[in-house]
Amino acid sequence: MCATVYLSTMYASYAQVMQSSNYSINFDSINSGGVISSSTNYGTEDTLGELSTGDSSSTNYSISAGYQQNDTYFIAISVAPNLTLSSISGIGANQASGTASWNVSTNDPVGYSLYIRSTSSPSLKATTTNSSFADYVPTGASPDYAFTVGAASSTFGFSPEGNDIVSRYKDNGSACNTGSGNNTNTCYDGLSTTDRLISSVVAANYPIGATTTVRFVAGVGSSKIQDAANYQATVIVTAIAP
Amino acid sequence: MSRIFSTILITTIGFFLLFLHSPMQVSAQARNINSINVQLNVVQCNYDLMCDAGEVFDSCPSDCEAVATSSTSTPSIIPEAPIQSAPIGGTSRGSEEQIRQSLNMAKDFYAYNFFGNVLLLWTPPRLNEYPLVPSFLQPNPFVRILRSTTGFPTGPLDEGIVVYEGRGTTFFDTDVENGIRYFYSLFVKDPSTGKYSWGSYASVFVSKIMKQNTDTSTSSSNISISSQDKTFNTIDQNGFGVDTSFFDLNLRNSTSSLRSTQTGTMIITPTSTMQYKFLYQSTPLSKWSLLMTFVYQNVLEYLLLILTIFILSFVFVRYVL
Repeated sequence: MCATVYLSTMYASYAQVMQSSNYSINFDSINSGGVISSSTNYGTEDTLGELSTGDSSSTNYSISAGYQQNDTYFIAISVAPNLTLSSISGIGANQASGTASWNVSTNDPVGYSLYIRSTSSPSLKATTTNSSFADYVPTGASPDYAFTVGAASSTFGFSPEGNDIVSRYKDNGSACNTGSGNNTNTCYDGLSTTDRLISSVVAANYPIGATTTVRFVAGVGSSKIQDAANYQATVIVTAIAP
Repeated sequence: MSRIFSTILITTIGFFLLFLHSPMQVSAQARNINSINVQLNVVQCNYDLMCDAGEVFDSCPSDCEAVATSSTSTPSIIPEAPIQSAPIGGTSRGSEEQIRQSLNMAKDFYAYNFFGNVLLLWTPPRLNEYPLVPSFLQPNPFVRILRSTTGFPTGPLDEGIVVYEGRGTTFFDTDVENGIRYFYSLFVKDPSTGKYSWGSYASVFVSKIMKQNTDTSTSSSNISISSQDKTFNTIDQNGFGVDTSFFDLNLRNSTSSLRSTQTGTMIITPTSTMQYKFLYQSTPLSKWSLLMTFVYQNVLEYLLLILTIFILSFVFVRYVL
């Protein structure tokens, strides 16, 4: 019998498995029969005669008892705290930056994809006035290797970092969307209200997971006078196990 | 026959129930979401001791106030101190006055806009002008202050108006006009050599703002505010100043109390007189307050007057007569 115990949306653990120094049994079952069947396109494993199968749950736990139950995949994402960038002057060339990290773990063998978006356009807006920072727009189709801001503008961008970032945010030391480097503080893009893929991998990574760090930068140009105010952007990251 | 049919039927139902109860593989898309708020506070002050465009005293006093009360430490507008060489053969002004020395400058030279005039303050150096006199009894050194409207006079004989010569530590310059920035240079004269020190510099923007009160009351109470002059002492190099004012109001026979006649902050242009409006907040008084006000104004005032007269009379009779 196998049991999968969910400890919340963040963390999950399998039932106890048996192992020795050379072998391990990940799942075991006591039943009266079962067979593995397959055709050209599909395969199935069925089990017959198990006892005490089915779903049960309490306030904090749920269990799906049964040998084949383990094939229910899950994905978990850590909760990041709100990010407060250091205060800057709205007069003269100034920048503020900060990072937020998310750990994504899944037992799905096809891996996961991590997307990012904001809830508004532009993303970084004053909470009490109509002032805002424009969403960062790279000079070309690929992200900018370095964060730049025009003299007469103010802008808000992001740069993802991590082992699973997609090729768009990898660099060769001087340009993005090329090479395999993952230098920090490089490859800047702008947020929008549409999901943008930042990390992806085709493999299960449970229980360690993979961490993607997103660096947010707000910059004011040298001749821009940015209104004094409190600005806020709401950023949503979505992890999907396809 | 029926037994065989029943057996087949029960077996079929049993298999069906087992089929329903057996777990099935599920392959649905899993998804999880997290959101954060990215927050940023922007202030309009870059703390570079320069009152830049966009900075005002109210939000950036560290920059705009520093320039408004410019002194010898004002770095950006103090001219490089040129050495004026002595004219060959001398001049009627005396060549010794044109060679300056780097010692004995005045310190803390400030120029303040003071109700449309300019108040100059400085700390003179201590010179041992009389060798036999103790240091603390030495007189203040002789200073010369020049004034210009185009820039700091660079030397004691430079172009500019000599507004003060003497041994004082303050000077009140009343010969100034509203809406103009004045540049002052102060030079200390060494009595032993006759040379002048390097200059100390200060500038100030003179403004005299006339207030014209406008009564905007929501009550029928009599509000009367006399006009008064207002001088802005904190005006930056761009000619903008911010100040606040408070007024006390006397209300008599009123059914309302007036609160907060603060004008708030105001940015003014370099040009002279302007008007602005006062807004008053009217708050109805409670019956108890009205009663107390009536008692005070119509009874207590007279009782206090009678009591005062009585005490004075008592003192006069007891101790004088």
